[in-house]
Amino acid sequence: MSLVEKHFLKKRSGIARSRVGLVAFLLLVLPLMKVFATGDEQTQVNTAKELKNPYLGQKEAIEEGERIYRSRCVGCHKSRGGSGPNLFKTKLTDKQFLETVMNGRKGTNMPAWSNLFSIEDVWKVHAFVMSRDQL
Amino acid sequence: MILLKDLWKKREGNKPGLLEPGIPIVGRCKGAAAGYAMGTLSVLVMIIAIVIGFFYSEAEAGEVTYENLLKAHTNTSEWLMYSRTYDGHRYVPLNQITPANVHRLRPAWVFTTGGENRGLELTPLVHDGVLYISADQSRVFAVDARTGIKKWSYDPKLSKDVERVYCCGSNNRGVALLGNMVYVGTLDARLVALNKDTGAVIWETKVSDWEQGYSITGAPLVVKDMVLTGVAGGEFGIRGFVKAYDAKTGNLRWTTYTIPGPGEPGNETWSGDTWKNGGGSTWTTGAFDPELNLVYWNTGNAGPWNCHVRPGDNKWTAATIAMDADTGKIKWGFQYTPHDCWDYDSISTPVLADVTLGGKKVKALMHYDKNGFFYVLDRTNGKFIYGEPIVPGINWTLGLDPETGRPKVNPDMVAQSGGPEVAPVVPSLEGAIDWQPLAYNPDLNYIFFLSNDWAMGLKFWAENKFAPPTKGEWYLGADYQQYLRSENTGNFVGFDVVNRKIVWKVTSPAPFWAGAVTTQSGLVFTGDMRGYFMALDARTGTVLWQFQTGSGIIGSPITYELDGIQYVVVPSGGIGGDMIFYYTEPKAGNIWVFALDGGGPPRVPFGSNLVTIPGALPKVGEPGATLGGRVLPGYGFPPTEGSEPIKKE
Repeated sequence: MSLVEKHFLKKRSGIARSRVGLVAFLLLVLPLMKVFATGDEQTQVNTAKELKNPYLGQKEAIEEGERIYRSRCVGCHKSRGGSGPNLFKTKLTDKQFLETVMNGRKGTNMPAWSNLFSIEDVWKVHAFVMSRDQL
Repeated sequence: MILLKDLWKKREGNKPGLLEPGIPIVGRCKGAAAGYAMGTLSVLVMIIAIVIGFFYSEAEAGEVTYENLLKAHTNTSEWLMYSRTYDGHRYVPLNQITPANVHRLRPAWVFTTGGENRGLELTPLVHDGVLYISADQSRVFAVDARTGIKKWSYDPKLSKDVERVYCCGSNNRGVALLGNMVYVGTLDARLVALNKDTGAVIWETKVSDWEQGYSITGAPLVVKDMVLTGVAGGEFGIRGFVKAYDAKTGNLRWTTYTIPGPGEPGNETWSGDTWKNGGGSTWTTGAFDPELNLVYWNTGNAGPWNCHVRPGDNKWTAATIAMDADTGKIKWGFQYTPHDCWDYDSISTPVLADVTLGGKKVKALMHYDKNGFFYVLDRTNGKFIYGEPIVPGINWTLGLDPETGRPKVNPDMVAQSGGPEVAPVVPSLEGAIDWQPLAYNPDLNYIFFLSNDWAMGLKFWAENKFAPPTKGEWYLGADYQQYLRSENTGNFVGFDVVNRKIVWKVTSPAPFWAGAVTTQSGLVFTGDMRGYFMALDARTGTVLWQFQTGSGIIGSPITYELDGIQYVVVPSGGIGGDMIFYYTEPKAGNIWVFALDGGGPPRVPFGSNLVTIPGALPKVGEPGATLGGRVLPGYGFPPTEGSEPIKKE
């Protein structure tokens, strides 16, 4: 048994032993936490309804996204990443992608596109880069 | 010297924010001289003054005249235009710093440009003891050349939206001087004239529409009473041009498109409407031959990169054009890469020299091209004299026609629309050289330039995948991959123009991306992307001295003499231009100034650009010396009138 495993088991048993205490603690404290948490309700709602790209997988949107990509993005992001990161199958969430394109990225060469692109434009570009591995 | 000291004492009593040594010194000395003359003048002096006044009636004291620009060769205390002289030699007849003593070079001072630091590609100018510097985002600084203290700065405050129409960073390569004005071209395609003493805008004009992909990164060129500028935008489907403006008023004098319109000779080298978006940008500075009255301007790549949509030679892209200085009319053109399929801009500033080749005196125009060949043309008529391959393994062409210089294209290195990547193409589209100015030493007939050794893969898109741009979109029809070829991507070359051979090479693992300057004493100064500023022996290429400036060198060094001291100045400015595609960097924006032993003991009082924020540091007991008005509630102090409410998130 490795040291790490020993440590893990020890921890587990510790937790198990104190389980009764934990339940009691939660019963007592959770209602109070609920009160404190009301201020964060807005955030919770946002997390629950994370912005999703409604155009994903749609053929026409992907085609339009490709046209925009080839005329606006390709100079830096190239066919599979270049001076900008590779956007194909990006790991950014839909919301992060939208925000980065619209606001730009400070400290990098990524400009803000909000004065030129509509939200739909960005979604279409996103639908395109999610649809394949490279240009 | 007494005057100087007294002035310093006087200034010491001033507020810190007003500490600007140098300006009052210059002003006072001149004022005193004028006063002396007025007090004791004889009739003779007056006559001389009138005569001088007649010849220089347009020019106030300290102003740059066209005459000054014509005689810039012998002026070793100033650097009045981008290329120093109209012929673009970047050769300075100074001898204080020599191969024997150059190891004693030490920094005298450093000036920091701040900002976004996306690269300093400029050639600084020096006039009347003031350095004129341009930086990223088209900003301009005037700096006292004795102390490094800022006199003024100018920021065109570009819209963030402009970023999307410049391909390769927010660079500027320098300013121009005439009369009492400093001229700068901006990334949003304006030409701005600033008062050289205050930085105030005197006039500005819209050169073109940035939203259609036009921008200005090159230094303007003053010719006679005009200021000339080119434009960038060859990747955005522009039609390149050079425009000449009245230097005093900003009124347009002439426009010459590099791509001829319908009915003009050369338009037949384009199919259909392709000439409208054919590129041929003019994003560096031209040269000028006052005797021939010709302005020479080099032009950028043809657009789009995918050449199959524009059959024909595509004049005058990837070329040199010679224009009548007064009318802009094209007298001749020479295409280095006709029907450019490789993004081969021909964009470094041409060098004009009278050289003896094969026993014959030639009025030469010399050019080193992205395509890997060094060219010599007859600048009176544009006839090809010779072209020498510099980069080993050039493969886009099978060779140049020895009579005409026309390249025989290697079809294997032309990508096909919708086809696979063609690689490795040598040189890459980053060029053997890109925009960087050459330096020519007429004592040796050697010319010095960077020559990077790397390759590219090029892929052309199917022709239904792209269309001419409407609102400043990229117009490439292609994408590319840059490849390394060797351990030493960076090469800096000394080339014997008369004997047509490379005499030496300096290598670096990083590309060279800087211009150069050469001196009569037999030195060449340049720098590399690792940040090394270096002095080379012009005859042998031996690195005699080097200094780590802390950030990549991608601008051009200059040298001049001030108060009997020879200074060497080099911009050290992060990474700009295409280099941002391949490297990350220590960001910086510094103007380093060197002299032997750092210029010796201080000759003038040092100063500082540190400015106290008004009201931030009142003296104890002075009005305003309270905590009121700036304290946020909740920090143990009661809120006072005028306090800022905390924003609720």
